Amino acid sequence: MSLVIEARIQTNHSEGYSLAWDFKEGNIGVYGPTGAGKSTLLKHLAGLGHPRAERNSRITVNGKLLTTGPSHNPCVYVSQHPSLVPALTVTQNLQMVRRHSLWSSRIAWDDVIQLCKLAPLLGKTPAMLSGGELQLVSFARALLSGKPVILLDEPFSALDFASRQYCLRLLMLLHAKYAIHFVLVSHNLQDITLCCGQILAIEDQHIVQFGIIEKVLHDIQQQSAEGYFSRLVLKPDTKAHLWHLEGHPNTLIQAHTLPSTEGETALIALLQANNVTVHTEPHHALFTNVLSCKLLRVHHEADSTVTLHLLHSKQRLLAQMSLAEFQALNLQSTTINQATSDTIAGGKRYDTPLYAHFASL
Amino acid sequence: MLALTVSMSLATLTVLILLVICIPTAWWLAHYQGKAKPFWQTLITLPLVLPPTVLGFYLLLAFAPNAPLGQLWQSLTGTNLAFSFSGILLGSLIYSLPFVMQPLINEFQQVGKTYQQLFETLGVPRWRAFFLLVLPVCRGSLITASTLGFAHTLGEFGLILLIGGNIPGETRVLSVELYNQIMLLDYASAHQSALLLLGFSAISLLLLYWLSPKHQILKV
Repeated sequence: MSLVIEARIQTNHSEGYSLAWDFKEGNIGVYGPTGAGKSTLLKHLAGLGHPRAERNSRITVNGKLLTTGPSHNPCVYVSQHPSLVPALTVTQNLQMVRRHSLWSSRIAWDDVIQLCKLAPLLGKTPAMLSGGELQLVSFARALLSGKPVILLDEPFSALDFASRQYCLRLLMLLHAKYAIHFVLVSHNLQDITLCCGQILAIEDQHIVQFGIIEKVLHDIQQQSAEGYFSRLVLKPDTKAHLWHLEGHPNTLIQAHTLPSTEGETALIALLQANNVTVHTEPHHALFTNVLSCKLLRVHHEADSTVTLHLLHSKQRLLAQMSLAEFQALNLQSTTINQATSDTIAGGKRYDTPLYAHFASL
Repeated sequence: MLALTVSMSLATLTVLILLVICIPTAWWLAHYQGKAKPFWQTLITLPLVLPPTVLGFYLLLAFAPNAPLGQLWQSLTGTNLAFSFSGILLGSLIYSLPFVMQPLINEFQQVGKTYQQLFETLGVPRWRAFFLLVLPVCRGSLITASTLGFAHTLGEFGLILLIGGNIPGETRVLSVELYNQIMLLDYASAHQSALLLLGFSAISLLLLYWLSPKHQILKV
């Protein structure tokens, strides 16, 4: 079931802003620099903001105005600093919320324990857990609260890389299988890209961009200090160990290093732009993955590198190379008078077909 | 010993009544952000710094049969408030109030508010969150508040003597009994009373430190 949140957020230090979220398009990522107002936004939505600002804000969920306290609010806020009751074990901490919450649980106890890999921790007290384990318990507790919207404020910041990747992918699975909607706050654009279908960029208490991730990711990447990367949505193929691009069953991708969770129907993989090599001829012998592409745009960076925007059917790929390497490709281009579409940029249309090469994901 | 019974009854009743008054008041004051907050804080903390004789003097005037409070009490119960057990109980409630209230306010401000918000956002209704989850988490401060209130009431002297006098079985508490024994140069009995008070005070503090759990909120 889809869920729509509309809000007019009034903060103490700014004029405020409005937003309208429909989770039909997937989880929502909130991206922005430190102090942009990401956590403030989440606390407002959960009914935990400053009382004066809360009074002046207006939040509706599926058209119904939220006027009651945080316990009746369908959003649960999960902080990056988990607060557990120290005298109780992990089981007791989890059961306490499961038993007393007003909301009936959407996901069975056993499933939560299995998906969050909590079985070895159940008998331990919070003092015996590491920072990452505490964050996992806090996340599991939010799942057991039964609320349909979970607001995650840098929830996996203390986890190791592999565990964080696993948890971020878990959000996609939980969204698809249990209709639990997530809002993820992060400084890391790649984390958001892995598990969200929509992205909201916020700066200085103002929304600078919001939309479906495919449409706004490249614009946000240009503002971000993180390196360029492409987002590939992969589906498991009938051939073992192979995947194909969503919507392109003939485009097979080798991605044997990606972890797969049971029940996962689609997987998002990130491909760093500097790991993509571009040639005018395909080199199947040298690279595992070769995609024929059309050159959309050439973006010149300040440090004499260029970023190529390539299109394979509807999938956009980014490739980064030095200006000298790009010139060595010796591409044929047609100068045109007026730029009229996305396929034409800088007054040139590139007609030479290109091949993007990258190693197994 | 009669004086010991009076002291124990007074201290126990004072703590029980104060807990009933202080838990909701401390919760309210911990969350209240209005302009009158310093006024309420001053009013609650005043007995802590006020000489007992000043408090006793004003209470004695208020308890007089011709004063409004004294008259009201007499019309309700038919007895005098001054020089009665009820009078010293009322005095003790005021005098020991900050000792019970302050630890609770501090705990509710630091820990209670965080847990309350946490449990509420997890879908637990406000009152259920408070009684089933926040109060057990704050039990360390409840123990501290009760122990301090009990020990402080047990050691009251000046205020009791002023508003209660020295009536055996009614207002003569152990500290007043000790004063009488010293005045009569009955040092053997005075030693017994003093040791009893010393023992109770020491045991109260020992219990306080033993029972207080390490309940600081755990954060990464």
